[in-house]
Amino acid sequence: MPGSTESRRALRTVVPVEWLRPVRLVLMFGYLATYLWWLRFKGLPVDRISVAISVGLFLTCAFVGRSWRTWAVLLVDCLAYCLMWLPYEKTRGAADDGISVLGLFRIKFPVQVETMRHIDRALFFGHDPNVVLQEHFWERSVRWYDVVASSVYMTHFVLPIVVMAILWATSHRQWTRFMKRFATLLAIGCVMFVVLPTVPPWMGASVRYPQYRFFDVSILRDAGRGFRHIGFFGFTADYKVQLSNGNGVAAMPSLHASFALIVPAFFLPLIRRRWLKAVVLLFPATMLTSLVYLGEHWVIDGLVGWAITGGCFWFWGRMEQRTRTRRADRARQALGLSGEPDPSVGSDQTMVTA
Amino acid sequence: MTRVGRVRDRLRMDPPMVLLERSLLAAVTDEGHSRHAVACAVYARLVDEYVAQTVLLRAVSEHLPTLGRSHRGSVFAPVDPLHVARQHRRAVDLMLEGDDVDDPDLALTLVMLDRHSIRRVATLDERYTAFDLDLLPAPETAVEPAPTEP
Repeated sequence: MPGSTESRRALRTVVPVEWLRPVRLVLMFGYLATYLWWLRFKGLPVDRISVAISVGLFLTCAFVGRSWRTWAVLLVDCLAYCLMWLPYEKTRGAADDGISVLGLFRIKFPVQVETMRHIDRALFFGHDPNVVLQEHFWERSVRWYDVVASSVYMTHFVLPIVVMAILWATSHRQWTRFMKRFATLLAIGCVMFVVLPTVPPWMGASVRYPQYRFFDVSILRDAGRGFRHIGFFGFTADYKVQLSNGNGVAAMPSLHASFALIVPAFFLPLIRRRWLKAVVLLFPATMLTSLVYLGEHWVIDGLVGWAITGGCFWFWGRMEQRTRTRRADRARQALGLSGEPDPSVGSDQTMVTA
Repeated sequence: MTRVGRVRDRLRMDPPMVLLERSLLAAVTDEGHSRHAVACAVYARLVDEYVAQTVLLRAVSEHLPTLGRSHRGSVFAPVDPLHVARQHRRAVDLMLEGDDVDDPDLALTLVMLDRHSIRRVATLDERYTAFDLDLLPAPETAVEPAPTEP
């Protein structure tokens, strides 16, 4: 056969250069620089519309020079993405007012006022984790751990979106895998917001909500104070606007805890070193501790959120494996081979992909 | 492979892609083909790797329909198409204007390999040995395997 190793030609010497590729890279770096500037001087975009505009701009930069077909796929993805958030906004707002069925009647489930507190107390031998943490650590002045807790808390509004945008731009296949898990998690969360409306710890101690108040001690609520302390003022203003539109009686499950786990869990199979895996998993643990310290959630909210996340990974992992096996079996049958794969193949398997 | 290429490979989230070139696709589906057994053995091995999640199987979209719809649903069920866009055809036209490649189909396959950063190609076409690609079956070892059980 022609072509010795020395004489073989690299593809780039034969195939014309895709000249829009460097343009795309420059635009993406430009976007990143602008985003960081915006973050520092204007604040972190957190409301849905700002985030959508931000992601839209990033994707426009990342898809410059791609085929029309790719743009059409992106458009369909964007529509599906928007549709995914609609039930979340609806059910979060309907958590304590019930949900209207075709305008004919309302289904309203009883608000869980003290149930989660009882579970937490059972888990912690009669102590309230929120109260204990605030009593020991919350001070008038902002401490370093307030900055950590607050910053970790705020990542909820950007981390999954950043991951989605990067996956969108780099591997549509991985984006699909991530979104299947994310959308399932969100859907289960939405159902639980309606079926199990739950009062969060801060509300149980707030004089503004006497109907739900059961704590005889105060639980302070200012999740953004550590973030403000390091100079991110714009973010907090937007954040308050967003909170005023939401419904507080939607503590179970904690999507903060779930989102903090779904991102590391998704990338965990790519990490080979065990100690690094452990470090990565510290993030969801820090998130749950922060949520409890900041009075935003009960411990059980976070644990249930983690369990749902784990369930989504398990379910979709199995589904994807089944699809792979079914497709391979079809091919083997057509080739006249048995359905059993060669046992020598895949011993160096490192990926969990479909 | 260059240092940049190695770093890029390490950062890649997907398993490496293997492109099933037209000659291999044709040999798999044509029982009268002189290298049908070799092609089937290579493909069967790739299907096992696909189930083990160590490779993704790809073929140029224009090469799959020529084999008929039934093959896409059965023999090539694990193979996903790489869709050819106008920009790919423009690149092919540019290549054909030069002296390096004179076959449009070879040019198109090379463009798709380049644009999707694919290095492994399953092919029976010897022209691919002229390029810096990992070929399956390896040119030096492409011998007829023992006949498989029907």
